Amino acid sequence: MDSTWHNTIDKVIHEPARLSMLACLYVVESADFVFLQRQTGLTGGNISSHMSKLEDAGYVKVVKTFVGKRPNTSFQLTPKGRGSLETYCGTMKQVLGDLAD
Amino acid sequence: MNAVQGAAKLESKLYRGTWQDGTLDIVAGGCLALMGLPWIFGYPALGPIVPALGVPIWLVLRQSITAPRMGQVTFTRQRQTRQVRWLLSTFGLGVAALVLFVVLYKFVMVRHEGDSDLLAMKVQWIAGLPPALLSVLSLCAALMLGQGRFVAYAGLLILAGLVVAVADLDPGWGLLGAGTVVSVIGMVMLARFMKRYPVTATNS
Repeated sequence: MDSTWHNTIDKVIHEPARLSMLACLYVVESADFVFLQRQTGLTGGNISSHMSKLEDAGYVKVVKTFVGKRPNTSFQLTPKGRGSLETYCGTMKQVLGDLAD
Repeated sequence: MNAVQGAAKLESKLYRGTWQDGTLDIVAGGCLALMGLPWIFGYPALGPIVPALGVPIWLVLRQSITAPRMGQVTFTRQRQTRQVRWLLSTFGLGVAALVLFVVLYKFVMVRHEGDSDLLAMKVQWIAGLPPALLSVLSLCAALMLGQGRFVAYAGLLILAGLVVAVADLDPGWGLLGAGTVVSVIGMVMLARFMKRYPVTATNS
């Protein structure tokens, strides 16, 4: 196993809460705040803080709109986020594969 | 399982999860029951109008009850295209079922006009057709939405058709009975859904 493998793992993605949100966004076009909350079981505060990190990294696009009179925040995975998640999956697969050998 | 299969499985799970609020069951069951009522009162031609009214009612229920609790999601373009294709196919099948019933009814009426006993027997069996034919739509919904309970509803509709035919009832009773059962199941599901997912204060 390459001893520097841990340096190749994307630390922004390698966090369970962020990973579960990204996995959810990976398979849909977009999802709003409540939907992510329901699917991941995270609190509103957690989602907000993790989403900020993902947005700062350019992995997620935040869209703020109004549904009727209520504000609605929805999230979309950016092409950069999609690519990074795929790279992360590949890296993890390799690392875990090496570990099993 | 590779990554593509895993993603497809997750997407399918999320999609199926959005159909477990019970609103579709309430509206579909309500439509069936309301299609049966004019039939019982002698205005069967009014029946096919009911589903057209059901769609906007369902959309309002989804928007006002489901969305604040479950949130909103837009699925992939492939999923949306597939959904539209299924909806069109289901609509086509519904129209075909209606036409088939009318043609069969007219055919039997014309063919056995002189033989009243045979005519009565044939009409009795044809009366069981509307609920049974609608079971095809329920099967379509089961396949499209990945909801096994719609297979059970299809079975219920076939059973309703058989009861109508054997007991020599008006087809409206079959639709009313099956529709009421489906609606009640939907209401139980909705009550559970609302209990499980209370409205969250913020969505931003």
